[in-house]
Amino acid sequence: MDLKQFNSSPTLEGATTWEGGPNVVHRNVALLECASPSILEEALSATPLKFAVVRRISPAVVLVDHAQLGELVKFLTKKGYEPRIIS
Amino acid sequence: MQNIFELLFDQLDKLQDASPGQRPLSPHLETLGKLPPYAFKRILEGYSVGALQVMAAARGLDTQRKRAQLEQDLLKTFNDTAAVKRALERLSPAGREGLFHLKRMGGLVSLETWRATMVNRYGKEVTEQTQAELVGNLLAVYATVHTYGVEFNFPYKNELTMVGSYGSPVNLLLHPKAVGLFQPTPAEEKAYLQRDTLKPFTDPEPAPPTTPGFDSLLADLVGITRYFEQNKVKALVSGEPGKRDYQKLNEGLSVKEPGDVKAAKKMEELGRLYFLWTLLKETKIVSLNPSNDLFQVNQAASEEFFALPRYRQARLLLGAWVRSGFNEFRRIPTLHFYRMSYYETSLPDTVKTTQARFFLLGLLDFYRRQESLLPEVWLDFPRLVRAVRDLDTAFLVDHDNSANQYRQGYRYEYDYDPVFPSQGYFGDEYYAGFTSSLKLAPPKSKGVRLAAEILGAPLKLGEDFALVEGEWLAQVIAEPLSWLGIAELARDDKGRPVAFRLTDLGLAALADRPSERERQQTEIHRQVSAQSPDLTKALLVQPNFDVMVLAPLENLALLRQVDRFADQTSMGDVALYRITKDSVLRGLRSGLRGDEISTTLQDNSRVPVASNVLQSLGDWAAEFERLVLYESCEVLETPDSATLDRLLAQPDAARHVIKRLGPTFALVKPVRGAAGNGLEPTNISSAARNGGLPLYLDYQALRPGSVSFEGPFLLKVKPGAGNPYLYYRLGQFADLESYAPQKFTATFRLTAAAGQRAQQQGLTFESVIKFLEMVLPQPARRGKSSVDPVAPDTLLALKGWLGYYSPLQAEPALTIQSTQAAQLRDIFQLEEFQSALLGWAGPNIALVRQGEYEEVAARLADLGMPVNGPGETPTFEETLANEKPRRGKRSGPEETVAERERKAREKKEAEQRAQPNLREKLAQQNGRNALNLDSILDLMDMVAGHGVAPEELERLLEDLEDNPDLLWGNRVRRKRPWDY
Repeated sequence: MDLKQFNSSPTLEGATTWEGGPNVVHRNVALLECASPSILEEALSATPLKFAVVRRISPAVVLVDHAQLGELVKFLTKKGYEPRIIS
Repeated sequence: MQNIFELLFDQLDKLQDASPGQRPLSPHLETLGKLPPYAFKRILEGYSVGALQVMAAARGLDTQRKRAQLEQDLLKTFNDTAAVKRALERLSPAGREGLFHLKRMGGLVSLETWRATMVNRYGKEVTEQTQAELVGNLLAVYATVHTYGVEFNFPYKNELTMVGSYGSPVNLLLHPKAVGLFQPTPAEEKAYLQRDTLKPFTDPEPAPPTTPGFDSLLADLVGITRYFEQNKVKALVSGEPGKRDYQKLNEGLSVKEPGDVKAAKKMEELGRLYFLWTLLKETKIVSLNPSNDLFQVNQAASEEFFALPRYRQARLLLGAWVRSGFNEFRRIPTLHFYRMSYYETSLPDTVKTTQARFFLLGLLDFYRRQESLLPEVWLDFPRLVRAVRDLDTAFLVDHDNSANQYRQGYRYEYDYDPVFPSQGYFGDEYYAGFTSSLKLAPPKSKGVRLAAEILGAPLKLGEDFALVEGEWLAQVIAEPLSWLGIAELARDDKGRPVAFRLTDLGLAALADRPSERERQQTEIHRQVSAQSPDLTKALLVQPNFDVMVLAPLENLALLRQVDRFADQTSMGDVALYRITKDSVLRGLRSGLRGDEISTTLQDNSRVPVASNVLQSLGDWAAEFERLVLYESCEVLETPDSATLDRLLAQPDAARHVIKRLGPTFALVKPVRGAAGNGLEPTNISSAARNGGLPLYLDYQALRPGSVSFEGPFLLKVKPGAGNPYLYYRLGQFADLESYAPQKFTATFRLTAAAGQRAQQQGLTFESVIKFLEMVLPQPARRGKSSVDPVAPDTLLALKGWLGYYSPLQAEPALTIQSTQAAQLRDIFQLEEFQSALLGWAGPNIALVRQGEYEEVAARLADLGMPVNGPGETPTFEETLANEKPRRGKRSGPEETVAERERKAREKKEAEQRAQPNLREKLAQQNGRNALNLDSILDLMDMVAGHGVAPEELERLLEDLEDNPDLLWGNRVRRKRPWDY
């Protein structure tokens, strides 16, 4: 799914955070890891997850908006994608 | 081990090395040892010369000196070790025992309490002598204890045993040197402590009580824990579960609460259920999550507790009960309680109750060590009460009946009133706050029955120990200790306690050793396990997803594990469970993993687990684990995959990296900065300065000033302040215009398309503004109170694009104006005109639908009110020509145009003449107090109709301003109240 249609963030899909800089540690992020890329695609198309993706960092892993976690879990569970939550 | 478990065990371990009722030494002993000379003098102040001479003789001093010199001599030898030794050697047997009890009670004890203990053993006369002996030998001194410390001159002294205080109770304070120098022999100690040995209950064997024991307690603890695990139980302000929850908890108990649980106003009023709840609370197996006020199960504590051997479980719960807020005293059925303040009542508080429980457990443990308690042997209960009274009369209720400043201060100087004893105070020598139905006042021959005859006569501190403390002991054995499976109480036919015994488990718990029965069971289990391991397994997992837990109470840890992923259907000798998708999901949600569930079943089942069960478990777990959400974690990003490859190849990478997520991303363990000092670089300049250190971007810290407006619709991220989360938030409602990743900056433009996109995602104008307020520069603290950082045209556009304002509706309309507002109102209140009315542009201007205008105009013309269309302003001649005679006027012959012109001219002149009267008219109008909308409109009409010159109007207004009373005309101004 092309996430650019929902958000114009330049780092949404793959772009490096700091070109030519050192390593970057992203702190206090919410991360959703799917068992396979197809499950992520399925969840993106079936749920409002697509609106909450902050960054796709691999075909099956996305950073999601930590401010929307509660609602996101509710939507995912409702659609049969109940996530295992690790605090 | 859980910290709280260690603490609970530790407090009971200490009891094993102490005498029953032994308290830690008071810190005031040290104060006495370090007193300065002037304070020392106060110890001897007030004594008669005779008393001082006795002291001097005991210290081997010259007794025939003057008083001042006697005091000097005594003070010099007060701390002399040899003199103290000599005094100790000279003590009588009663004196030694008196000193022993003083030391046992911490070296500082209320004189009355000490005397009560001694009087019980030796009688009043010997007690008096012993008191004189200890004080005369300066082995103990009188003192009062205050918040600021210990005081020696307030207890007013005269002779050695004559002492009193109008303030706080008089205490006996042990000489600090005597603590180390006085060491009774073990034989002496045994004799002092076991004066009243427990004796077996000789009457016929009492019937075994039917109270639920330890097995029921464990089963109920499992059930309650499960309830808190599976339900969201909110705490009340009191910190306890609400009524709905305790009613449901009661339904799940193996032994239900007697009576109507609904009648209880709070959980504290319940018996066993509240007891069980306090145990879970004290052991912290269930605790309150302060962030959401919900109770939660501490899985680690729960697992550890249920895996403990039974005697350790019982010991831990015993320790929890000692510290708990459960109140047995309130539950004594023979007592009737009065409402009294905390300071007045004799009702023991939590501290005193905990102290009394420790005392009782210490005493029982002492008897166990003395082998006076044998398992399952009934012992005489009244003997126990007497032994407790002899060792520490004030172990539960303060028996000091000397004047008490607290009681004095809080009592309203009333005396015991036998007719209205409603206050519960009966005198200093009585227990306050309750009476006993076991001690009723003798009935009067006639007349109204007194409260004392129905609820009980006052209980005397010196006589009714058995009815108060004795009943408390019976209550403790009959309820908490019995529920814990530690002890049992037997009653006679009248319900009076006659005998008690400790169970096998009780003795094991006190000794902190497995009981004989438990040892045998363990041994059998070990042997069976060695011969055929499968026979010791406690589960039977059937292909229909039913699970049986055999001997559940012996396999509580396993029971609790199964409890987490299966639904219990019955509980008895075998616990039956059923595995469903929902129950497995519940377990997975609580933190279990799919493979853990399968392993638990496979490792503990006597028969191989059917493949369909394992397959379903695997499927459910896989479905659940398709998505894993880390709520808050740290992700490392490297500029290229080769860098991450190198990092992961480091020997200590496993310590820091949890897993690789992609070519340049890895999930890492949270660390506080590279140097561990929390001073990690958080912006590009400091990261660049620090060379190899990574840059830390916190997604939860949106900083003010990181974004600013460059024009009304362009948002610019401050160079160096950009991070993916900020870009994401801006990208939700604005379009990216430029991006400079080297500088960590970007610009975004607010557009209609982006606004629509934001609306689609559920963003609102308010949420966008809230976000912008977080990231835009904050207004200066001083200056305007609210500086809006967003320009008005931006705000309007955002409101429009984000759906804050609904679309506008346009419709062609014509305005109809009239000089009188009433005219238009009259017209449009008629039904036939209402459909044409679009709205009002003012009281004199109506908006009429363009399509219906012609019809309205024609109809109005019919009604004699022709409407002049746009650009159709009539000339004066036309107006005159169209003018119709007014109703009621004489309709004479047709007038000529010249006549009409003349009349019109005359009318105008007349109106101009009437103009100076305008002021009078205004005054008249207002004089009638007719300042309503109609009158104002009329006045306006009049002014307009008369063509009042602007200068004249201005003058009139100025006059009104200068003289507001003109508005009220010639009305007499009403007097206001303050004018009188």
